[in-house]
Amino acid sequence: MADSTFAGRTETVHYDNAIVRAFALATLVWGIVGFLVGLIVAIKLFVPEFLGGFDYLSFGRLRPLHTNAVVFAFAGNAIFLGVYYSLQRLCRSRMYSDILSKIHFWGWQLIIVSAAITLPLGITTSKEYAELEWPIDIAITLIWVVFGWNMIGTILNRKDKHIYVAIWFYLATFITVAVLHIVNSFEIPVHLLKSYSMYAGVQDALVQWWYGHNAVAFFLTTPFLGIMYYFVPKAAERPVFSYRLSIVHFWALVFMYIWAGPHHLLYTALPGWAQSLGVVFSLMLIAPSWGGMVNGLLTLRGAWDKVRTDPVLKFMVVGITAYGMSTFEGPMLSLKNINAIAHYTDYIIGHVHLGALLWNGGLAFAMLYYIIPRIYRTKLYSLSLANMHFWLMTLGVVIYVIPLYWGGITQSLMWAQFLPDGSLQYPNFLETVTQIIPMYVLRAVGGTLYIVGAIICVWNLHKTARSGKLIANEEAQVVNRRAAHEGSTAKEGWHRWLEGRPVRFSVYTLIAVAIGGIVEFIPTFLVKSNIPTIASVKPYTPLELEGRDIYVREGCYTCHSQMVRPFRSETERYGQYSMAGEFIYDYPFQWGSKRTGPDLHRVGGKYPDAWHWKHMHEPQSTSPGSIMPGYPWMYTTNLDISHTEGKIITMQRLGVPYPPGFEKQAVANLQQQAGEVAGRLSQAGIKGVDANKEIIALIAYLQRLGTDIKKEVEQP
Amino acid sequence: MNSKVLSSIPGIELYPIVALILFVGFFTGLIVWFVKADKSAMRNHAEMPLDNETKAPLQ
Repeated sequence: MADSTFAGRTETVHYDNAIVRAFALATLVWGIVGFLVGLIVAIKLFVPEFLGGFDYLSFGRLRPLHTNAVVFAFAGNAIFLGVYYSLQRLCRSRMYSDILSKIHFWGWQLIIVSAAITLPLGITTSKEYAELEWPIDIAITLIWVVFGWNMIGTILNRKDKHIYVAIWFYLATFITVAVLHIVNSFEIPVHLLKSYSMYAGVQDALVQWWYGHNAVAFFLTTPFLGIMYYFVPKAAERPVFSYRLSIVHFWALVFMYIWAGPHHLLYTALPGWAQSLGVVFSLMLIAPSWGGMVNGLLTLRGAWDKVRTDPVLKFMVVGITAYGMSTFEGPMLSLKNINAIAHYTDYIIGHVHLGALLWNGGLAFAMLYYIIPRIYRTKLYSLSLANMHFWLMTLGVVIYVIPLYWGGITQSLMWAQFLPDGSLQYPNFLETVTQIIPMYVLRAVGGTLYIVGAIICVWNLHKTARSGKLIANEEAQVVNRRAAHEGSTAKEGWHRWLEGRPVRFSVYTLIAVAIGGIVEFIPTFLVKSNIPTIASVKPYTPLELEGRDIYVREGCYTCHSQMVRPFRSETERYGQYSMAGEFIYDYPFQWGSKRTGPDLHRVGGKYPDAWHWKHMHEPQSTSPGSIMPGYPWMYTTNLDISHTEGKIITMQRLGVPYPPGFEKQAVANLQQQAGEVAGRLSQAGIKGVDANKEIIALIAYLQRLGTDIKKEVEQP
Repeated sequence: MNSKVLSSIPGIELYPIVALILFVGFFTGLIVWFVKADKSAMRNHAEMPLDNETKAPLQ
């Protein structure tokens, strides 16, 4: 640091491009993997037997693999690619530590691999976008700290006094994702690969969607805005339209986003005030989001001609435009009357893919087309291939999104369609599914186009890299403009560090983020002691608990909600609407977010055990035309009761009122109930029933669902 | 039901007021900053991504 004692002095730095290349490669590889898994699950929706019969490849297990792969592996590596490239250049400093860079890179890839192994095995917490089990959660925390340490270290070594706004977005990402991940991952382990959320029911739902929404905000939005604020000016060769606007954009976004989570829970059993707060903040979010979009697009003023020829700008412009569309659509979908129609339908899947495929995908590809030729000191291999990729991506998304919008609204209207006599026109849920299957086919076509485009991109970038040579350590002459005395004495060092803007900045960000969370959480957490408890709601029996864990393992929540909304169309179809007091023993909650199949909260007692037996084995046998896959392995696999006692002990720790010593009787209790279920099945004429199989536990759980409240009615 | 739940939380009446003050305070601060911000400094900051890849040694 001897040179830095003289402000304005020229220094030689070496940017680490090897780590940039590594993240670029990981972005592309995981991108293709994540997209392909997406295509597989998309095909399963209209060809349910596609790759069927294997537990590891069932829809409910692959869908979380798809979402985790595209969010954390594709977008995650793209974020790190953008940060490691732009941060070094904005700070005019090599990354703080090569070792930390390597630990970060390999640690993150290891986490992805562990997700790719555990999710198909059914090892999941079932909290959407946070499905990974507790040991992986700890690994994520550690690697995230390494990322932050490396980033903040680099910022402290910067050669300019001011920290450019893109870095603000990176810092907010680091701080907020850390908070979100830790708060949402509070769980008590039962064993190495199984844990229960520390929150139950309504509270678990609030925390989960505070997390889920802000994962979109701080993993898929803020880092990409940082990327936009660096790469758009670079590609357009002009400064951002308004720097002041970018700062207002930053603070307004960080402050407001965190409040909006409850819009995922409209018309649920979440307290109404929290729902309203979520709606109001979601609507207000249009302002900073569009401020950011306009700022990005207006940066191109006077440079629009470049958009015609430069693939980087093409991808950027479409990406930013999609950001504008998504952030208009999001607040609209948060309005209760619109949400009532769109929620639980494929409309939402269309909405997220508009954002994910064009905003995140578009910016990621733009970055790749910008960075790869530069770090290899060469030109892009083929402009026309990049253009072909651009059109395949754009058309692919159009063909993907529009059918899902169409199908989503169609299905929702069919759910709520009444006949003149007041009965449902489509009482059989399946009718509303078969109606929209052509839309599922079109969606897969759109997705395929997108993947073909991405493969062309990989080929083009591969050829580009082959035509040049990686400049692993890029030399640059930079001017040190930091204040003359900074870092001049060792004594002053720690104090400077504490005063340093990145740290102060992080604290401010943390405060802004914490306010929204605290205002929403505290009253909701007090609800537990205040809510009118429903006397007849009792803890699950050990067999039902094991059945519930199978429900979680198979990812049933990916297609079935457990939340009957207070609409006539829903109470008519499913029964009494769901109430907060019914979920107090649900660790974790299973409300779900999508109804590819019907709601299951009141399924208990609706069908005989024998129906479930047949249906779970081959859904088409009881429901012709069903797109649900069969679960034959549950009929051959013995229920694992080695952890039943531990599960009851964990539940007791969480506050579930099993009587003292019940854990010792849990297995006996389980076997007795399993014998009863098997007996009923045999009586119904089912042959070859074995009380030890997993299906027995699942049937017990399904038959219990939503029935406690009926007991209250029976015993006034 | 919800109002009953809320009214039974001790000190809840302060909640909306605190939330409102925090919210209004935050944006008032932001507007004050926006008006007072030094425009020439803003221009310099905006240039930061553009002038940092000097390949040739500077004079």
